Amino acid sequence: MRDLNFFTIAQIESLKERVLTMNGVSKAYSMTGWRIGYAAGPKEIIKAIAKIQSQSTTNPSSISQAASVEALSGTQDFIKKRADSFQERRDFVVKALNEIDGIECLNPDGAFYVFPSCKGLMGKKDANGKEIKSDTDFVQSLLENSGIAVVQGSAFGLEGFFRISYATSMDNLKKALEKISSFCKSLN
Amino acid sequence: MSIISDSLKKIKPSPTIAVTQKARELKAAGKDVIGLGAGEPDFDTPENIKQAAIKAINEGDTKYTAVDGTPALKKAIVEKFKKENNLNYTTDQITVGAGGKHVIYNAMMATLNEGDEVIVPAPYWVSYPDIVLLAGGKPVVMECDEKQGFKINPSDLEKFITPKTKWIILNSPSNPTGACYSEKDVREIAKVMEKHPHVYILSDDIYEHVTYEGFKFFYYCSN
Repeated sequence: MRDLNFFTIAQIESLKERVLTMNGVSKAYSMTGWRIGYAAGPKEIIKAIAKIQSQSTTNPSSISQAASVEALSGTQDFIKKRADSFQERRDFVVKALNEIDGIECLNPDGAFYVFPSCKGLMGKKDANGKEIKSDTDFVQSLLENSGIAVVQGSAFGLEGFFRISYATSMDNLKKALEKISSFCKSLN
Repeated sequence: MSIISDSLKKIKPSPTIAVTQKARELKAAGKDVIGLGAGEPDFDTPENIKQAAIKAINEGDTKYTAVDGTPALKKAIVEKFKKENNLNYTTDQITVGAGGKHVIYNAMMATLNEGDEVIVPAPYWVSYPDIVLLAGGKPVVMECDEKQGFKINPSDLEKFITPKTKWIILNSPSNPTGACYSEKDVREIAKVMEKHPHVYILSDDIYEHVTYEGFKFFYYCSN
């Protein structure tokens, strides 16, 4: 087993007093719509944030807060089950992507994204004769020609890549990866 | 004179919107579109959590609460940090907002002065640079290439720190790359940070519970 325990920088005692650790229930408990995030850190910053909130949003939803108490304190079984399912999908997606000529993909340890390179396809032309000159061109052509929506790497500050979220069913992923593969093969 | 503020003019429209918009158009035109763009889990909220919300409604827990979180939720968060991260906090060190993005926005609004720099390692979550801009700061993008697994190279980090640096943002597991920092990775970054006591660190741990294989967190280890 690799040495990869989750470790957050506030655990380093000498730095803790200048670390603000942000977390939330959205991704951990599939609660994106409930809108509860939190942070732990220096009292001075926490107090200043309370001042901002007192003059803007006031409290986050009382109901969402009650639900979040249960999320954090109740059974955590859900997390492990879901991670297993995500891992299966990640394994599939990374393997399928690396079988495509011109695409290279690292095998990440977490989140539900992969960030493959499409640099190997630059300069090729799609079925409409449009040249793929950037990750944005690649993403647009993939959507127009194959109906697969992904996000270009330049949106995240790194050109030549694209982001796939695999937080969708295996069936969808299988269909999508087949389409991405035939799209890439169709470029010349 | 424009009705729109100067600070808002600095904000770029989300670059992901073009693709999302195009996908919507194609769908509306009857084309089969598979969306792999969403940043949210496809699982439903667990039943016990839904029931807690229903109970809250039925019991009249439907009024104003303390501005930055109920005592009960702050206590649960303190326990979470203790149990899962071996971190000790008191409830006055905890803030609760309407999502992680809101908390980050509050933190930047509370701390940035005009021209203060925030180091944002790239690839980054799309909102970091724009939140910094909205708060009057200056995002300083530090590219982390594929060869280092899209992770910060600690010796590069040194070059990005100036007297104006107020924050560095860390995000592990990362959106958009899925990269995770091991304890060793974090300790190497920490060594650099120890030399620059004027720089604060914002650690975005929102994907903590979506990790695989040997990448376990303390909760599982201690149970």
